[in-house]
Amino acid sequence: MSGFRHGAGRLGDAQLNFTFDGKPMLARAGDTVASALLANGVEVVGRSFKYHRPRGVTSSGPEEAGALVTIGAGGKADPNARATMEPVTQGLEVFSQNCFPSPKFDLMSVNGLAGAILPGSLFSAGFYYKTFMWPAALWYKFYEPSIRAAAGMGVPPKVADPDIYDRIQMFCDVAVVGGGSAGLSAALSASQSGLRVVIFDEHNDLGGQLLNEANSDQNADLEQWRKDTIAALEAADNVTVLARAVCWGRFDGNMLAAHQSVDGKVRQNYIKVQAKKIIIAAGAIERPLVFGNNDKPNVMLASAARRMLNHYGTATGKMLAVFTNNDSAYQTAFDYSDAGIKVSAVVDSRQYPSEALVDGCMSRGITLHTQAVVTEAKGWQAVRSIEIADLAANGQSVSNRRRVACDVLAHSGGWTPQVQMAAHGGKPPIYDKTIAAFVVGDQAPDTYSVGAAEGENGLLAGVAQALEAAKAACAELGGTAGAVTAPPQDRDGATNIVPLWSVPAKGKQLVDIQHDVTAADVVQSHSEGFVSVEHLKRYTTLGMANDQGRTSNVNALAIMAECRGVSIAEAGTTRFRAPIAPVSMGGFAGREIGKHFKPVRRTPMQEWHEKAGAVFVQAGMYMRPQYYPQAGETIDDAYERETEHVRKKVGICDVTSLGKIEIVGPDAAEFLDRVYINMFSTLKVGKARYGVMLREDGIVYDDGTTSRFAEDRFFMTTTTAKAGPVMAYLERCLEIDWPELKVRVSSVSERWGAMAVAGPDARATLTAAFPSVDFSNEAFPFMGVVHAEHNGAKLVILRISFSGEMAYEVYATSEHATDIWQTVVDAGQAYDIVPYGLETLGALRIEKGHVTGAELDGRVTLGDVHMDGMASKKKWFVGKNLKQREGMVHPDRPQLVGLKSVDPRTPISTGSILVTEANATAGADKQGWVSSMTYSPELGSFIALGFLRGGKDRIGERIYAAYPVKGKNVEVEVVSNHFVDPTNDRVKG
Amino acid sequence: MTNVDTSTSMESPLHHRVAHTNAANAGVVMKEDKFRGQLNLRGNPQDAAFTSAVEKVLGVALPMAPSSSVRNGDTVVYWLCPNEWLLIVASGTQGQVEADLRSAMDGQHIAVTDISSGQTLVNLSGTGVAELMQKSTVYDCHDSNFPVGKVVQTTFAKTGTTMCKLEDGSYDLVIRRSFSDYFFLWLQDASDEYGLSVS
Repeated sequence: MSGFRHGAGRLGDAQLNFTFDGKPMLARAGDTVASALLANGVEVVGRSFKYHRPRGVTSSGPEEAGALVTIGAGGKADPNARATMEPVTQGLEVFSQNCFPSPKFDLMSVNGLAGAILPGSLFSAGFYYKTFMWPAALWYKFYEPSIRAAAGMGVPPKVADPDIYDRIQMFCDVAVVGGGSAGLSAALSASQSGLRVVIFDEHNDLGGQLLNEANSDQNADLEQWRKDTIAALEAADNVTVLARAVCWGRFDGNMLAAHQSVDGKVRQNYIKVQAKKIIIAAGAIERPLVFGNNDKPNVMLASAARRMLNHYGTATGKMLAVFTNNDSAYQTAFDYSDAGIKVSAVVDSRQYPSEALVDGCMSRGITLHTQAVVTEAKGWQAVRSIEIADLAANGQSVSNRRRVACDVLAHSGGWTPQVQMAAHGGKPPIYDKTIAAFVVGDQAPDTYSVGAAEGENGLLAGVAQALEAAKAACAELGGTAGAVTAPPQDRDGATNIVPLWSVPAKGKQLVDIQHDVTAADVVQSHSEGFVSVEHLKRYTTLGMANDQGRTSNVNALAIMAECRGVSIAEAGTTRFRAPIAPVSMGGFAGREIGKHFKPVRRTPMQEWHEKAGAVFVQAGMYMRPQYYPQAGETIDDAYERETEHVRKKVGICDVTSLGKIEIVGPDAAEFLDRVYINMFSTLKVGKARYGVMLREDGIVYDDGTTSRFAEDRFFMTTTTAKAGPVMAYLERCLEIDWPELKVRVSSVSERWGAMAVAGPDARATLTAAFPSVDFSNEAFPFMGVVHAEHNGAKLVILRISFSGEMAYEVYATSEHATDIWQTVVDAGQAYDIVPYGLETLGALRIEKGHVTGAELDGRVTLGDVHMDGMASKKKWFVGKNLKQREGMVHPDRPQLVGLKSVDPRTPISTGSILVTEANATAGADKQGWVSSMTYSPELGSFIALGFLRGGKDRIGERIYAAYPVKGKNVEVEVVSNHFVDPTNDRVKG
Repeated sequence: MTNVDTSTSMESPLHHRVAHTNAANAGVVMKEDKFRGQLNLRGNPQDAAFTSAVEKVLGVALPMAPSSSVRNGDTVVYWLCPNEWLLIVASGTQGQVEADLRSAMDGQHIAVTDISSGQTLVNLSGTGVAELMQKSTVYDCHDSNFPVGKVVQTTFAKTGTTMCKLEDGSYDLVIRRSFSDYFFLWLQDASDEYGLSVS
């Protein structure tokens, strides 16, 4: 118990209730989980990643590495949330992580002990690489489960997330990343040009470092400036203010990606912003100092301790000590002292702090230790005192160790500009000795880095940079940025830092607090040869935690540079990559889950099928009826019944998903002659013809039926799968290959609902359905085309067959299609018409030996499917030249054959390999494959289509269809692929 | 003017979605403009015989500027590409318009294709529409980029659309018939927080 409520800060009056590990806690509106936990006296919030060391709040922002908690329960649970970034809401449930049975008493903390006893083995740097190398089998049985149980943080929920996430696309002229004094000024100034402005800030309250300032009378004008500026931005129509939105990546084309937390029906928005200019005012983050047990709860960044007091009205302890190597942390000591909280010491590693700072301490009665360091934070779980010592002039040793009492230690190792967004633009940051940190250096195109993000910590100076950037950005976009009132007070930005990268000290000195990487690990990485900063990162996992190295990176690079005896600039920095902050997967998925993952396309008759009890199967984006089961039927019962029924009587099938293209123009016939292998210019008006297209390389591309409606007007159908590609291909041919042809194409796929009516009673059924049409053989022969109208519907009826039976395809304008379907079904009642699905469609066409996508799989030639005879010798067509290549006409190519089970009731699996040996093993001579299979009621046997080497000449041979994965080996007879009615009498009947 | 005989059992692409329960004070209002005639027109924009014949039949000149449109009462023409336009005409008149265009351009190399049944026209309006569009399309629908009368062919969630902004700030979207059910399901979810009303 050290933190407590102290003053109002900038919080609201409303009291909120929340729980931490089930214990009731109080908060005020505006509190974060971190500030509220501190105000409730909670010190240990969780346990660390590897060593299970107690951890508390270390910061007040996105760099939080200690207070990682799980927010919410059940499916809403959000593990590894940073307590500093989560607002408290009424009834919020917060849970500690990585501790059993509780954060205060954790059984796993023995890891910390083991690490101390056996340095370099258990959980120290590189342990993944060298500790558990052998035997490999133990990885899965022992090492991995043990490590997973011991390490790691929150636990992802096992139930579905009930929350809604949205993906939002935004566009703007000027995007401002960061809502501190510089960002606010830049945004307001840019907005006055009338250009579209978007400003992001990851905090709930905008203002950046202004929020660290005491909310006092003395600062009233500064606070008013902050509020007025925000209000002006919110009032402007052309500005979008995105609070709680972390901008986590910058991508090509000036695209910024952000996740925004929102309260409402939607939990989080994933926002992509396309910006013309980007102003980066992301600020700077304070770095910790590296000393003994610097991860102990109640050791926190000086600016965070200050913000807790001044903004959240939460004193972080009853007795504060400060440890610093620069000027900025003094203000924390002064603010605490001025608020009536005892400050036991300021420990400054520098020899000569400025007179003003020394005076500030003296006037407040604060003991100042110069040329001194904190060697170790002490206390069982949280800080209760510190050991300090004098630092030798060379920085290598300490003397005169002594204890100073305190229950919170605020420290500052300097400030790290947030260069990530700028660095994503492609330019590596450069080291600036004055502030002992990396700054942007060369700006990426369309990018302006300003204020503390560019190393300028002064308030007015940063704002001035921001206004310059706004002016330049607007000017380049043809606008004029407006004049903006400057903040009424200034804050000096000079930190006068003297770098102190590590302290000669006892105890664990954490560099990356969240990943438990110590200064010793960095040294070990160096001694084992991993000296490049990129290797250091991977060997130690430094900077890979959710703070992405915000607090640890510079310290670790500096320690490595010292080890190597090179300058920090020479050691360099690791490459910055998105995302720079943890982002939820939910945001990426957005709403494109469940039924929105893949659209379901519907034919006009979809409802009819649903009412008829059809079982559906995915066919591209369509859900097509697979079969229509009757009571008690299995899928096999149903399709065998439907198939038999079509062969004996009549059936109706929805074939709407076929592609349909109108081809119009004086050169339409010539055009078709070029894209099809067979002749279409000879096709008579009112007739249809089956056509095959090749790719330019001679491989079969698609097939379908094309009808001639008029001399200059054709109606092409394509397979379902190729509906889009064929349309695009025809357009390309006309636009690029043959612009001289006077032909226009239009997709009419969606205009027509289509149904196949097949079976010996098809004619009688359609005659009853459409009495105005003469269906007699003379008036309407095989491959004939008839136009008709019925009950307002336009109809196109083709007499074509995919089943081998007498059959028609009826095309009806979509809005009438269900009515027409029902008309046919009603008329067919006299002939026991049944609807049939894709299974039966497949069975019928396999019996007839027709090919579909299963056969025309992008590997077969015309010869392979016995269609070479169809190719016209009188004309050129696409694919003609290359189909004659040696490999395309080789006699050993697998050719289409029929296969019949020797034992008629043994199914042949699709995908089987064709071999000649009874029990083939891996080395067998693979002579072909099975592409489609069905049970044939007509033959009373399982049959299949497949491709077999030299298959044309092997009719009558007995071979085997082997499926080693399933242990199947079916003896089959090679037959013609025309199983049923090979003379084609039925279709003409 | 409407020539549609509603006594027949015609079904618009969204006919089965009328069961939606309308939200009070809905921020998004969807209206399906059922059975509008839609014709695809292709011809040579440089050919004065073509452009004048079309103008004579439609009463308006074809829009020639990329992504533009013209409007004359119930007749709307969208520019789709340099030699292709979408004509949206009063319900039931498409057959006559098609015949008139054919006879006016007899002998010319043009194509007029009736695609009415294959797509539907949907209007989206309301206070939530701007945000709805940010969630549903990758196109920048801000007035500065997408002014009244501009036509773009883009995506709406995972379907394609041809859309145009109207004087009143609402959006006309042409949606393919087979995708219209998916479009509606998306709309229902994406406009949930604003409330959806179907009229």
